Amino acid sequence: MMDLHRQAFKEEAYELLAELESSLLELEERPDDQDLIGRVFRAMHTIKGSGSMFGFDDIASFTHEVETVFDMVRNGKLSVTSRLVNLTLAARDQIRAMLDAADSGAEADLQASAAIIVGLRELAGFGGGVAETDERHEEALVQQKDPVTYRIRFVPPRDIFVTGTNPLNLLAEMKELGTCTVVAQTDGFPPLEEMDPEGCYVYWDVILTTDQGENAVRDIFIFVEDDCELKIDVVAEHSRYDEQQDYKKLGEILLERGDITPQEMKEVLSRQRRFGELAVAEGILPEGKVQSALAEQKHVKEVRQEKQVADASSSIRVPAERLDLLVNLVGEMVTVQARLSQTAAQRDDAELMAIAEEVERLTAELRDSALNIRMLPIGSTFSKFKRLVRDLSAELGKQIEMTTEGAETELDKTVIEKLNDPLVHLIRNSIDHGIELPEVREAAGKPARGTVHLAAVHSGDSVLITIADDGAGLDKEAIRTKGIERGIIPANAELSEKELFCLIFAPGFSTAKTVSSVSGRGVGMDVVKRAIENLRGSIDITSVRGQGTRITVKIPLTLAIIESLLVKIGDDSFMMPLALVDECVELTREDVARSHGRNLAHVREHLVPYIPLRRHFKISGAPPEIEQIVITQVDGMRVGFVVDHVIGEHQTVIKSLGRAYKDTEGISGATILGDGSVALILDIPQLVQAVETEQN
Amino acid sequence: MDEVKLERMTDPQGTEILKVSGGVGICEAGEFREALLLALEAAPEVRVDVTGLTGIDLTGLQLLCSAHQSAVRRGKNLHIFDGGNATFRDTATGAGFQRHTGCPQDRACSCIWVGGES
Repeated sequence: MMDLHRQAFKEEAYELLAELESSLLELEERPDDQDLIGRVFRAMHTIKGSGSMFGFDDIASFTHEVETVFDMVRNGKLSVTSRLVNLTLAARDQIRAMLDAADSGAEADLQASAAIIVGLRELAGFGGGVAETDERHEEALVQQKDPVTYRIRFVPPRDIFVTGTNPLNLLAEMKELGTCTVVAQTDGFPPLEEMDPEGCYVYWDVILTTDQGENAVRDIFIFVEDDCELKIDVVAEHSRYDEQQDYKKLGEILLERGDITPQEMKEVLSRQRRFGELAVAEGILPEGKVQSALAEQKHVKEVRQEKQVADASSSIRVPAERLDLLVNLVGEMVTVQARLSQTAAQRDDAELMAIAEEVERLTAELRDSALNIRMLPIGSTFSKFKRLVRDLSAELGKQIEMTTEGAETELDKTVIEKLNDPLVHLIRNSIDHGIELPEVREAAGKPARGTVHLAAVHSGDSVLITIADDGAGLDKEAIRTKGIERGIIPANAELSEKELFCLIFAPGFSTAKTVSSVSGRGVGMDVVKRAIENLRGSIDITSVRGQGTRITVKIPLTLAIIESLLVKIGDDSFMMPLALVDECVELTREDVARSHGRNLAHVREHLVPYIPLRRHFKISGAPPEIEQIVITQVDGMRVGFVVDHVIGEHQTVIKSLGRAYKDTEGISGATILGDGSVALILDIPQLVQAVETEQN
Repeated sequence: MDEVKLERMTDPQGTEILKVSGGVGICEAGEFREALLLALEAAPEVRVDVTGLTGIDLTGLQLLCSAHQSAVRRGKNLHIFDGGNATFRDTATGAGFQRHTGCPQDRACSCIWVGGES
């Protein structure tokens, strides 16, 4: 059971660290933003508290150091500087490393932790080394509990001011513990002429909701407790809200506090006026006491309402593997449902058909729900890139701002994970090759600070992710020269701009003159393209010299299930992703004869090149008299695929091919059809590329 | 705290005005109380102007509250004008002085703490 809690803590901590990183990066831009400072502090505080509770003592103790520094920032004792952000980002990385190390049983780099702590302490103005850490760690072992609402009556001694204690500080400390309502009681004030100006006549009723426990409250009064009157009562326990009755009535609160006797309450209640008004009018209670009780009533009501809102919008944390299993099972069910529908149609049994239709409807709903569970906003990935831009621009001496748009766009979790590496590569390229050094930009009349804009937007069943920079743009001549040098294109080749830009996706292609730590080693864009295509996506480049480059990646929303077109060649079945299919036309023997073996079809006055799949896959047997051309869109170009028959649209649950088939060209996966047979899913862009390479 | 400055004046309508600027802490509390007493003696209508306050502690807040209660007991009116002074309001809020209705003495609805909550 403990392992489960530890695992839950780790998952929460990873999320908090991601949030922490984005908060820190924002804080660097807006160092006075109290909300951001509060977010950083709370993230550290939560990691520290939960970490210590689940046995991650090293993390709790380390995080405590950062929390202490941010507490100073929060209290205005320290300002946010680049150095503080750098150190806190390093601390964030170190906490992550500690979490990772906990998995493998390895030990995190203690020297790195010590260096960060020393840096933070220097910054905060208190020396000392790591030795103090254990002592401080004592504080970290704060027991987190369910929130409890306390009623605290604090009557300070008359001479409290003279002893140098400021009750305002005690009240402020209580506010630090949670949600706090403070009511000053002023009913015992003597006339002004009799008042000792240095005496304390005011006392307080405080309603405090905190998860820190009663001892934390008592600790605040540790130095005055002997001289003051301090009464701490539990008003409400959050864990027991459900079994507790509705909000306490005013009279009940005053009775509990001892401010009124049962007899007095009975007398007042026998009249038909509002209790508070009556009690004051009758002189039984001073106004201040009623005010205080009303404040308690209001406080408990508000805290309870907050909890109810939080409960209503609560979510549960589920390991990704369980969701993967669910999606796999739904996938199996989609397959079985297809089989049921097919069998029902073959038997021509009305009752069976009705059942099959019902199952089909339910399966579709179940599929959509299961897939939706895995949808996540791409925003968390965007935040990671902000850090990348920050670190790389500093390393390369460039000034770069990253802007984002559409962070709320949702994509399947698996897609987001697989998209990470290609996007990192593209952003690195923008920073290294695209954005110029500040002096170069200024000489070109541009602002010294360059921009990398990352945007995501839904487009049908796909998401378009754009990485646009306002850098130097692609050098067409350099690309052409390099292409000729490498023998990718003939010297006299006439290429459109689009075709020219596509050359950068050739393996080993790089126009960089120098190799930097970031890029320029000629490894890259081909790998990026391959990764995008593995996600059944496509990549498109536009660029204007001197103005910048825009790379658009088109990715399907999910990888688990796709809509596809089922086609047949002989006895073999194939699937073509429907998103790429434009239309289907017939191909007769006469059409073939007219094109004199050039594999070109006339479709509404336009020539469309086609690939005869029977020949390409070397499938034996004779084609039918009339074949079908499935015309697809690949990189903005129409390309046909000749098949024997087009069967129709089909929902395809993708099964990956075994390791032995991972390099099979033109096939991206397989699926099981309703009759139990296997259909291969065609990798359209790869097939086109293979044929082009073959022809060249 | 800045040095306290207490200025008394009377406006054409006969209202006694006590203008308090600078800081009022425990060291200034005695002086502040005397000024409040003199102002209350001087006229039936007293206005304490705290717009220029740069700091105030609990002793100051208590004296203001007590001055108001004393004024009401004597059948006089005492008003506080803070002109949105954030220091004054923040301290009063932090100390829990803000309330929804005045104390039993506040028959003229002139309580200085009404209108806010902590």
